[in-house]
Amino acid sequence: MRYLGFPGGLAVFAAVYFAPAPAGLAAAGQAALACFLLALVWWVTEPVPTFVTSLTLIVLLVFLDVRPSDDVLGVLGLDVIWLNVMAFVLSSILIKTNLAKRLALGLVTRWGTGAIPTLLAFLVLQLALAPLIPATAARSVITLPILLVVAAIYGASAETPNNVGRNLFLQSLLGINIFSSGFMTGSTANLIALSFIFGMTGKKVYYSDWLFAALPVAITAMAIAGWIGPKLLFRIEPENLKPRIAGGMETFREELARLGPLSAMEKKGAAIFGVVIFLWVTDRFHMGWFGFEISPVLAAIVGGIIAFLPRVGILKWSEADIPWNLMLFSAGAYAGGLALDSTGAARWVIGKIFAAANFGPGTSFWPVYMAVIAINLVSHYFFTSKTMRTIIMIPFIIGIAQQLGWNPLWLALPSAFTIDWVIGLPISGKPNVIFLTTGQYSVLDNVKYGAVMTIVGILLFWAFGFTWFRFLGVTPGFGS
Amino acid sequence: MGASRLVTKTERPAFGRWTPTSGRPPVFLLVLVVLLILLAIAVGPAEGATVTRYAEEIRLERDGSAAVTLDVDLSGTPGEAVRLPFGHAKADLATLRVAGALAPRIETLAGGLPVLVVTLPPEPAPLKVRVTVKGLVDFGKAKAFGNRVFSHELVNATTGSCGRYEGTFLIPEGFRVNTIVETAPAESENAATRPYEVVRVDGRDGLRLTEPSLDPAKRVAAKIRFKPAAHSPLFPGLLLAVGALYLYRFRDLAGGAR
Repeated sequence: MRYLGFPGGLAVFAAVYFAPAPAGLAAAGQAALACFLLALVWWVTEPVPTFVTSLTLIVLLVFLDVRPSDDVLGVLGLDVIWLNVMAFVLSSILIKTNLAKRLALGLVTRWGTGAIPTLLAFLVLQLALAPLIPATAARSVITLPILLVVAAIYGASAETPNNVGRNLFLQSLLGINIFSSGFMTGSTANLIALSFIFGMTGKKVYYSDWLFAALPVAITAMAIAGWIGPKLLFRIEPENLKPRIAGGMETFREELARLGPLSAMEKKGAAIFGVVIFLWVTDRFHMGWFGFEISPVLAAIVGGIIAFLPRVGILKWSEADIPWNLMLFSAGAYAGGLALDSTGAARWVIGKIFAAANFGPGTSFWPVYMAVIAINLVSHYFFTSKTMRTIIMIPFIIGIAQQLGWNPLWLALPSAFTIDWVIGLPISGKPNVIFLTTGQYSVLDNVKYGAVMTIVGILLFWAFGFTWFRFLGVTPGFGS
Repeated sequence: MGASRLVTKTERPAFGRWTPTSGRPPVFLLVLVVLLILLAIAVGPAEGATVTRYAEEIRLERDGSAAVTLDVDLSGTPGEAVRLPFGHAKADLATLRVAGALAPRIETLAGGLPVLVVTLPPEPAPLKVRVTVKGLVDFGKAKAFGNRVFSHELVNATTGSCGRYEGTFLIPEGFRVNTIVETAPAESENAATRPYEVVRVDGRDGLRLTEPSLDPAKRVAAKIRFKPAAHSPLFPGLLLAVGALYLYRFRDLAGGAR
């Protein structure tokens, strides 16, 4: 696959770039689509390192006149890249002070009779964090250091990745994104979707409406993901089912006991991390307190400043382990995704898909519901921004429902539940970018797990649409 | 103070000092209101024409000129002079052709903005204006990547609204819109729809810009970069060569070997 990936990427590029100009798509949009697909094939097949593909993408976007070089190169200054850098700074705090080790050992000795219960523990943790911290990137940063240490306990590292690490990181990634869909406040995109629904239809959706309808889908999906990962996609090697250390669990208990009470450094580390988490959790009160809102990335930078302060802080620059090659990968990937957005290519693709579906008068509800759900879940492959996807998809869907004379909520609300399912590619969401930079899994691993779960998601939303959503009145009866 | 007066209104209102709470209004006041309403109905339509739609199409030619067509939905009193926004200061007035109106002329306002003045004909008809504008784009001056720039703006310098504005800007065949540099109204990050779309009309690529209500003093504008649709013939050859070179140089990877 690696051997054929390189010419394969070039062939896909040529097929799109030299195709007859389609109506409604600007030349820059067609070129952006061609460049993005080339990069996608190369990221998945890895004929060259992923960051080299990203650098190639950056150069192609400029050389093919898709976007000005200032815009393309400016991606390295985006908040997601800053957050990525600061995630590793904050992780370094917890790792250097042994706090991450203490938390990981506590988790492993309490839950860790093996790898599977440990995976489950992280899913429960993500479910608990989802309603508390709306920013998915912040949730990723919080769990990242603990994940790194737990992965190491099971022998997984960037240099020697194994299936425990793949499952740990990819399941946490799925959990962060999919559990967000269970709560109305799980992400900003959910609220934007609801504002469109209210603004265009006058129908109000309450927190409990969303919770009762969407959370069961999210929990079922993650239960399935928890089984599919270690049992089907990345079977955990028998030798990795237990922590890799001579003496087994007893050694961990001894290790934990040896750490003793919290040291001054750990307390300092906990205080710095605590400040950042406090700012993340209380974001909705910032306007009242400070007169402005502190974004997740700026909260993380505040933590970084304190950590690096001489005498006050606990880190030196050389101790912050930042994988710059993967930052470059993220920047290139984001440049490609943003090019799809800004040139109108993503919008054009979605428009074409809906046009091909050809929903006309007299169409019965359920085929339309099934198609809309499938298109919604698959559409995340063409976007890097949930907000942008929401802005494009939800009004489209409300329009379709109104045109066919249905209650717009029947299609728009289930569609809104799918917005946070950004699981297919490493650039589909901020947590995806942050976790890929650990090197614990490859782009192909993410694509495999993401594709399987996207199909699972489609089937689940269909099944819930026919049953649970109907019971709640979110979807209509079968006569419609 | 005076609380009992507010509650018990027993006295009749003084002549001409009627208020909504002071009982039945005097007859003369009712007659006056009815007369004023009748007068307003009689005078209204003659006081100004109504424009409900202003569509503008600009077809660029390879010599840099453009054929401009305006389609305006307009109603008013026959013989009435109507001013319409006109965004083509460089228009060749010798080519100006107007259907559905009489005595067309271009006036330039104090600020330099041109307006089109027409007289409404005896029989109402849709207004269609055709004019040629020369030197709109300098095709000889290509920028990087062979790009040319087209820009257009229209300000409603009249005192009335022009209703819905729809501008279609078509580039010559053999060229493609590459990027939309600027539009007014601008694309909003939080809006469900964009004010523009890339279109193809009669085999020509272009941009369609819409503004729901072109009110007085409102500006609509578009700036697009377009370039030849044909690609360099060297490019596919280069891709082929790079692919072939890779397959040869890394042939040891075939069959899964690393």
